[in-house]
Amino acid sequence: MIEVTVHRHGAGSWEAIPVPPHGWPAGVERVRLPDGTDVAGLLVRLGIDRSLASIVVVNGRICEVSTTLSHGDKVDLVPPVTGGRLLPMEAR
Amino acid sequence: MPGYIGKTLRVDLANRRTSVEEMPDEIHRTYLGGRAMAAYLLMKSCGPEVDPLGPNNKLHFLTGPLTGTQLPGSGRNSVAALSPLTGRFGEAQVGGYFGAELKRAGFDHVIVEGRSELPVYLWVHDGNVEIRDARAAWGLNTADAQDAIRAEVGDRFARTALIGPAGERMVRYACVMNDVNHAAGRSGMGAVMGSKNLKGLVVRGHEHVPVARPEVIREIAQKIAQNKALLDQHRKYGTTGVTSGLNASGGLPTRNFQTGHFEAGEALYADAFNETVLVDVDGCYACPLRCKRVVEAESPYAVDRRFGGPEYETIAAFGSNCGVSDLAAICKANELCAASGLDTISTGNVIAFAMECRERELLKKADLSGLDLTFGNAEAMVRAVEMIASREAIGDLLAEGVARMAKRVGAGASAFAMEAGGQELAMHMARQKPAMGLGYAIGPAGADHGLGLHDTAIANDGPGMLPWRELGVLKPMPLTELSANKVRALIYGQCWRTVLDSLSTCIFVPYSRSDLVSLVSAATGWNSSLFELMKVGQRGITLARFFNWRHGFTRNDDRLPERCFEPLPTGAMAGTAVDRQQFDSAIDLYHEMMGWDPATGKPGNGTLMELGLGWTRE
Repeated sequence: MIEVTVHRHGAGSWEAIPVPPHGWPAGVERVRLPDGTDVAGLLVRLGIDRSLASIVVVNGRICEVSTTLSHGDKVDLVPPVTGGRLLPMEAR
Repeated sequence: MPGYIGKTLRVDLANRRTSVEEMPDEIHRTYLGGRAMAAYLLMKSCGPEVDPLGPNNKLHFLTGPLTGTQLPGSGRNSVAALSPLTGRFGEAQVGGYFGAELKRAGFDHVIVEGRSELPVYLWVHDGNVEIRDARAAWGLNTADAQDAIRAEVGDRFARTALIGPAGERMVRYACVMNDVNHAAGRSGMGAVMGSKNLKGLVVRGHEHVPVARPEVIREIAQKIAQNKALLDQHRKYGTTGVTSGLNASGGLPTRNFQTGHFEAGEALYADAFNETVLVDVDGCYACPLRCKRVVEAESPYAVDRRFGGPEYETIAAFGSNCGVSDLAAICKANELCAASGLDTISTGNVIAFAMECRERELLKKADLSGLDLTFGNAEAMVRAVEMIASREAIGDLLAEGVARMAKRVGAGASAFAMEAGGQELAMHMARQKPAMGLGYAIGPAGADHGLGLHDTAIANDGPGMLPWRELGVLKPMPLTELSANKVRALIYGQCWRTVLDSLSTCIFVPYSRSDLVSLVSAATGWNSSLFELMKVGQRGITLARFFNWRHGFTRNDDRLPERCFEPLPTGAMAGTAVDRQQFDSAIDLYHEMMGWDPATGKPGNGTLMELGLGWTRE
């Protein structure tokens, strides 16, 4: 198992982006994952839709979701910052 | 017609005359209101011979068909004139209560022309208008002026759109403040107001805004009010929530856009903000979102809560972009801007530019009236805001904006003068979001993040793409791609945004596209459609472009500062730059897609005719 630190960054407001009914809880958490898990696997584990983590940064560099994570990695998940709007799922 | 009062108030300050004009229904439906209506009215009345700070410039206060209904986000209005900052189409969007109250007072729009000999304000109440002596309020900050004028008219619920001392002194990026803490920030509309000796508009009304189908409006308003996740998000963070993500992803403008990562940025993040300076939240007419911040501080910077608090743009402009990590100082700068009526985005940029000139020794300490304006010097930054508002010493140069300063400084300073179309860039970096950069370069009012595309919004597949698919943008595109598809998405996004700004509704309220179509139909009784509304958006953009072309601006003016083409030195996007060749091609392609001549920037005849703008050729 590996452990990574995940920082889910806050959203101001988003342009017409559907968000889960529980919103986007910003904050920092430690997550334990099987060896060899990539960023996509981390997002599945956290239940985060890919379009909501619009930028993924691992150890200070932007990366793809196919990037394999290592023990101790610091992951920043950045929602689509638009100064815009946020659309409830149930409204679609 | 439902949705509109049908009356426009015209005020001639030179002759102290007022008149009421009825606007034909067809004009309402063709231009809606707000920004597109501003483009129409300016195109009709303001030729290239007009001096933006002269008596012939016309200042417009505009609402839309949803304004003053019970919808969240319907308290807004638009302020428009020929811009003294850019020499182009000038327009600013603003929230608060003023827009709704203006309509309730009996007018959709107000057009002010001429120049008063003495300072005046307009008292508009229940269909009546008085031009009143404002000598007692002249020189007062926006809050004190509001108190004085409300006392004078004897109505503490009167709503105000006022300038502060910066507008009176015609600082080129002076703004108009609604209700003291909501800014019609961009384009220097406060300077136009100052040039007319007009301290403000004060409105009060009791008229019910008529709508065709109130039940539809009620239902959609309730849907918003019941979305707890949405309300919690806005109440807790407002726009301050985005600071940390932008810093982590390398897109937070830092030290005059030199880089996209501020190493001391954590001090500016939303949680720190909430813990240290936030004391309350505030909102706008009929809106449950409460996204506005209210801050307070004591020593060393006493910050008055009457002036609200900084948004993300302001936190970045006075924070990271000036190398300042002191939230209290940023709140103080914000307070001074609201009190004196200064656009925080332009003011922060101007100070950051001066700081870089100082560091490069293009401006010496002596040139800066002894002010030690270096990155990170919060005290000097706060003092500079005061000097700009009063045009005191070096403040007089800073009051001219970055583009004019760069010309005065010379020695290649324009390469790091962070403006496009004469207006200072907003706090979103073209090197992270190239379509935003394209929007800055080509925006009708100069750099305006409201008319740029946040590339992050369409970077990944998922539910976030749903609203884009409605517009025919089917696939996500990589963040820094600047392809034909990205240009197309930018255009559609701009057209939609122009619809929102012409309805004068708020982008933070999450109406879907189909909601908005239903709302427009419900308010007006029209059988409207997404197609019809998008065409209004395109019409507004094209008219503003035609206006700019008539004022001498061409394709060659659609540009970004050189700095945007240099790789970012640090942060998560280190090494990334806007590709110059791709950018130039994208600008050309934008023109071709919009039916504008790529050589001159002039909208083509076919496009004008298709949009029903054949009259512009007369």
